[in-house]
Amino acid sequence: MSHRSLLQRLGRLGLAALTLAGTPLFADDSADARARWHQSIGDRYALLAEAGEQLEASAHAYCDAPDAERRARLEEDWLDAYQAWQAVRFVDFGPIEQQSRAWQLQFWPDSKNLVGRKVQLWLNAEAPPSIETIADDSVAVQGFPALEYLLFDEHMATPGALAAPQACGLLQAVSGHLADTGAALARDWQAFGDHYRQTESYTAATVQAGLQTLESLEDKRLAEPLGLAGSPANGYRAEAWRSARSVRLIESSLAGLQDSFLPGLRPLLAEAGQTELADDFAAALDETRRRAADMAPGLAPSLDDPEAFSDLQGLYVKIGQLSWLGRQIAGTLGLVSGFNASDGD
Amino acid sequence: MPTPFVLRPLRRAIALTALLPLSAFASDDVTPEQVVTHYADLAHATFQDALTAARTLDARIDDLLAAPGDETLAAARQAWIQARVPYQQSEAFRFGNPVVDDWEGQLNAWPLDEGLIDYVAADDYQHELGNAGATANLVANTSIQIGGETLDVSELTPELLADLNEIGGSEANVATGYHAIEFLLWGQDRHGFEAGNGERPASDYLSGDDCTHGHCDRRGAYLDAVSDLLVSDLEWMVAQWAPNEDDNYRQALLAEPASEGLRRMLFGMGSLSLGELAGERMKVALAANSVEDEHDCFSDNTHNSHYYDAQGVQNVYSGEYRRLDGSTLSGPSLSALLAAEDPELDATLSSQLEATMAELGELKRAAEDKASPMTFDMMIAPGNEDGAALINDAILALVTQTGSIEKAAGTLGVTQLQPDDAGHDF
Repeated sequence: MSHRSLLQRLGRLGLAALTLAGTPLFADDSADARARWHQSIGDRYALLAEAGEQLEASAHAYCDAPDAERRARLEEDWLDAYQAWQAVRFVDFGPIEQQSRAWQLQFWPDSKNLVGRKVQLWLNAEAPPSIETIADDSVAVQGFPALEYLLFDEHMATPGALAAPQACGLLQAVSGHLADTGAALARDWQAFGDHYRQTESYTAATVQAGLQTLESLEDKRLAEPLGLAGSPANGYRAEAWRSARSVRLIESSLAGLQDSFLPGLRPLLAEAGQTELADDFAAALDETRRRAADMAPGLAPSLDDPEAFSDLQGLYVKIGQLSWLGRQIAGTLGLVSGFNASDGD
Repeated sequence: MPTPFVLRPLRRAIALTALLPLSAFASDDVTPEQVVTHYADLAHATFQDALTAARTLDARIDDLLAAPGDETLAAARQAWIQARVPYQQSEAFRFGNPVVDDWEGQLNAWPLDEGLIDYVAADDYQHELGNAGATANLVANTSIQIGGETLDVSELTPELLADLNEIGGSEANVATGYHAIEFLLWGQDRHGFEAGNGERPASDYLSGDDCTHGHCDRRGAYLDAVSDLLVSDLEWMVAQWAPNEDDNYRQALLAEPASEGLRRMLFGMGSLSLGELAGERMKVALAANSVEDEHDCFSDNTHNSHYYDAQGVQNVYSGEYRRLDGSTLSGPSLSALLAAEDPELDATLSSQLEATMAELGELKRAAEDKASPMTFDMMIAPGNEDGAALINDAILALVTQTGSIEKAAGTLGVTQLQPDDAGHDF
């Protein structure tokens, strides 16, 4: 298929286009940066594990005694955990690579509505699945988008739909699996610590993971659904379109970069004599995150609202500027665009 | 770095040797220029075979349309399966050569929203969300509306179909190419993860009262036109690689420094191995248990498409191509070039390419087993551990060979594997 699909589908594989070619410009002892990253990323995985546990508890509480209050709490806990995942989603190496865990948490993009169909299959089954069954099933039914379907899809709009035994059983099984995945990630990240800290090449891998996230925010999470990437606007291409929370997720990704990516990046740039560049990047990141935080939570509903659409375009431009700074950083650190085997249609 | 199923070893550091001066090759070794020239010969022969097989397919389709029946339909289907053999091998030339990559969308675009073309089951069809063309049904309608635009499609010509490809900006709107033809020959596969493929009856092409599913004349016209278009598209590509032409892609490629040719060769091998075949065509389908992500989903010929993709990668490296007529084309190879620099790495990569063919051979054997065939869509069923193992082994072999392709690039002085900088100015 043509080149457009390249960008469109890259994210499913989490492939990056930056390669460390030639001698890196950062010093041998980037171990300090890695130590900071290991700590700050570990903190974020711990938060994800906690939020997953809370979500699972909330699912049980709702199913035990479904009422409006518990339902509201469940939706909040779902969003909290989904946001906790966004904050650490930029890490595309280490334990997250096992068993397609990134897809397990969030199968996206899902242009053919696999999530909806896999969830429907379970809703129409004779008995709800166990956590173990979900763990062996399609990645499309294992993550936040599957729960989003149960909580927000129009098929679930009938009063009491979620409280029905089959739906509630599925809700609890998927939440339980998500909690397990979060706990495993937090644990495995700690076990991964020595190897990460001792392996020089993870410095480049971490930098490119952070910068790649900005590119994918710009190209896939905004330009594609907004219709700024060549094809017409299509709200279904946004993440979290069912709940209209796309912008909240973007905001959390930016917050995660602030908390977990900057701590190692700063000393790296300082060593290269680029403190100012680090300051500029940090300031732009903060401003962009604040901007996102002030915006309406969804993306698709804003496509038909000129004012909200212009906000989204503004955010898109801001993230583009961040990406540009990211490319300056990559150049400064000796990262060049290189072998990109991620083409695909 | 750890974990075997990582689908991105290529982004890792390329061990850089100093850019190898081309004069470093002794005169009795093959030269990079010879290798790149032979690569163009390989491409030419592969596309020639793809054209020959497409012409046969076109003839079988004419037979089918002249006398629709089980036999003529079976013969057309068989010709389609044959046509995939050389075409899939040509995919190793796709990434890296813009002339191929920019062109192939009209031939092999996938996955498709087949409701654009013809009837689909109302309760068993999932199209791309938000795709305005997903149920346009060109066979049943002489005018269609997409994105507020009304289009006259009364006459189904090759030109019209080419214009309709990716209409409305959706890549799922595939109006042309192998998979459109596949759909018109087989129809939707309604069997999910179970045995069985598309069951389109030959009577879908009968006229008058015998016509099933309506609009048989237009369906026949569509199939006729789309098959003609495939032939003319392949003719064009053969001409791009033909020797002794003044103004074609081959000339442009050979006018570049040989290092650029080597880059395109290696980039094509790595991209097809990893991102495309291991990733898009196998891992996505398996991890999501998604028959929508099966490559040849109507015919269940996916195992062959995968097998011959990998064969194409091996061809580029070994410089050998077994032609449709059974003869073998061979010449100065990338393998020989690498062996002169690093015999050990050449031996490793050669055996890894063999190992990949063995794994995909297993997949092919399982799918073609006479007693109890397990096709790709059965392998990806939830809980099918044997099927998952077959696919995972193939993915792992492809990931492994890609790591060596990357090393080979470094050894041969190819440091910048991307065809362009994709807008990055650093």
